[in-house]
Amino acid sequence: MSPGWRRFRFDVLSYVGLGPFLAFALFPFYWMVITSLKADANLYDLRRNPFWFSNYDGRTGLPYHKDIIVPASNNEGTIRWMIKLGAHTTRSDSEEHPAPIAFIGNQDIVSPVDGILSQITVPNGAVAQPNQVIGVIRVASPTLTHYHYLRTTPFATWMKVSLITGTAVMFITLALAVPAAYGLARLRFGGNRTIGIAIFLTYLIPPTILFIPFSQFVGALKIDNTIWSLILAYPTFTVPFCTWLLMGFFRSVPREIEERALLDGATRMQLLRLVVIPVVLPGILTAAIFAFTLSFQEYVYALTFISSVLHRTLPVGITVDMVRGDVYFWGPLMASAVLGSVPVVIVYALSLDYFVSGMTTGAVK
Amino acid sequence: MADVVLEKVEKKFGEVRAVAGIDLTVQDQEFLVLVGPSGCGKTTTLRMIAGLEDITSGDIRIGGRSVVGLPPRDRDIAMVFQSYALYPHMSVYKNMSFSLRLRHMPKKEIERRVKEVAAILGLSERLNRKPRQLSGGERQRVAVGAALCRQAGVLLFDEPLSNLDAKLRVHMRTELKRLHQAVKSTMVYVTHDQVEAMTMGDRIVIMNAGSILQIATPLEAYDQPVNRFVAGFIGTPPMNFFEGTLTANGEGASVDLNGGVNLPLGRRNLQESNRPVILGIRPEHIRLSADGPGNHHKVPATIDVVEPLGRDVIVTARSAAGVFQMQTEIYSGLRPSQHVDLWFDMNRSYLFDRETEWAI
Repeated sequence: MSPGWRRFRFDVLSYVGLGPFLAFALFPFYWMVITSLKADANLYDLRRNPFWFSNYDGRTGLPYHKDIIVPASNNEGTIRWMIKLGAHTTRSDSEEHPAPIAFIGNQDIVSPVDGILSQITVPNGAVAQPNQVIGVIRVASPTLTHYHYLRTTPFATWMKVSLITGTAVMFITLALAVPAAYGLARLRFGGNRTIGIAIFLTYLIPPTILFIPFSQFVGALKIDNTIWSLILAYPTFTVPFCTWLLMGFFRSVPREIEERALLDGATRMQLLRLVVIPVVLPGILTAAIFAFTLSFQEYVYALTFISSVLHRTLPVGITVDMVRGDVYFWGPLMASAVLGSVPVVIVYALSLDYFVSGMTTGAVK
Repeated sequence: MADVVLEKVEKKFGEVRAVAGIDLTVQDQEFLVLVGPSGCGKTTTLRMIAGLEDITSGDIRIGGRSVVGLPPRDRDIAMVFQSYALYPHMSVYKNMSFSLRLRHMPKKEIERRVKEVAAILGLSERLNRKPRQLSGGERQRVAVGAALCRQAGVLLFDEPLSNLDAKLRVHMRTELKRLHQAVKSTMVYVTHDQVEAMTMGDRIVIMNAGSILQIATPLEAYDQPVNRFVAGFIGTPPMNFFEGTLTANGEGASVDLNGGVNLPLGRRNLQESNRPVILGIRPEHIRLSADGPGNHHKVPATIDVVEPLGRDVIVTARSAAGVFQMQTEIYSGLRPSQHVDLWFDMNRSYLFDRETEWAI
């Protein structure tokens, strides 16, 4: 057997072996994306294959469609219409149109809801009665309806709040956790073990216990209902976590490298800046991403500290706005989730090169 | 002048005494080798000279100046680590120039020095590589090169060859020795390998259990070991030892070994009788015949194992006095289980007190 063939066979077997893990890991993301793109009619049709799109009703076999209904408040002579598509409604903006029905087929009107006008039951020029079904439009799936819907919500504001909070917390966390972790991992001083364990223990106290005293604190500082309350509160769990994480990375730096740097004439700060930090860069990036995602997705503090709609973070905004009572607006929820994961995906993608294993390869032996 | 003087230097880790008050002077431009088994304190001694370990008590002077309490960077030293300790994120050039850049040396001068050292070490083609793209031998040379670029007064080596394969190790041994003749720095070299110590050192320091046993040139250490430990440590295959009793009579002293083997000591002037001793004799001083110069005495033995080395052969043999090894020129007539008379050159034998193990 030639080495090339053996190599090829190894690769194939590796991918076959890794395939199930990949599928397992990616499935939630797939489910999120496909749900966000399904038209509601398709989404709630239990007879169709849930893993893919369909355009035909599972019960009747007919295309999914929505009725075009004349509103009940339609006054005679002023003809208005609206198209109802699940939660979304498009109304005519003209009250005095001579032959309004003809305009239903206008692409400008129909296309924003991503339906396809399939049938008009009212003849051209007729006067429609209140509640009269004057036509149907076909519902296309996949559709961007749910993403368009987000434009009618403060989604962009929530996203901005979350991004600013996440970035600020990330930088604060790194500024505190990097020196702390290095000191605990490397410098010999009294009680460094105790402090290390104490830091770990603070991470074990769940936010669900802490949020009540914290909200008192935040209120006393008069920063409740502002982004500052979160920027102050989030480091209380990101700093211990990232310190603990970074201690492991600093410990993995061969001691000889630091000793050589000291012999080469470096001061402690130069040693950190020129040797240690470049070597543990993958660890620092990991910590940064953790700090960012932990605060980007945090729920309890954001829910309790912030009451105004326009200062909400993404997770709170989405769940408050898109879950009403026991009704889940799955389409918009999943669309927000997809968009909300984009910043995290970007951060991961940008730093992927630094995660290549074996940064310290070649340092010793 | 960069001589290194250690005065009553002691190092304790908690209650454990790693180095027990040693005195040592390394001459300017000398190649001094610290050798001993693991845990003997040789690496700790080196690290104390480097300033990587504090000393518990005593004094260390480099170039006449006490360096106790000085940080490593102020000691005019460079060090090559056992694990090479290369900066993984820097190219070979940056690795070698790191210390010079920290000292804000002009760029031109840095480039000149690095290129010069790289040429000596055969690294000119590798200057832009990262350490992970180098072979083990190349990494080792980069580590040496980085230390050489400093042009420090004292170069410290901590078992720099122990991670290389046997062939490369022999090659680098020669290279390092040549390098020392070229750069004329004071070098302190730590190894557990007595062959490295013998071949490289101007003088060797044999350490055990935190103490210095002997400071001598390689040949002195081989010819006049101060005690049984040094005698057994220096030389390969190691010296043979036999327990026995020293008896002196009018004609001269002799040693009674187990199994009724009696070996006269010849010219040695020893008066004591019935003293428990250990007789030591090197494998190369046991021969197959009594021909040639020397004071040979017969020991009947049975051949156990024959290990040919090419020019020589190592023979393990059993006698009434015990099992021992001999090294002799290759001779095809040797078979296991064969009974032979072997001849000990008693002029080249050593006597150690059985209690103290020091040489008599």
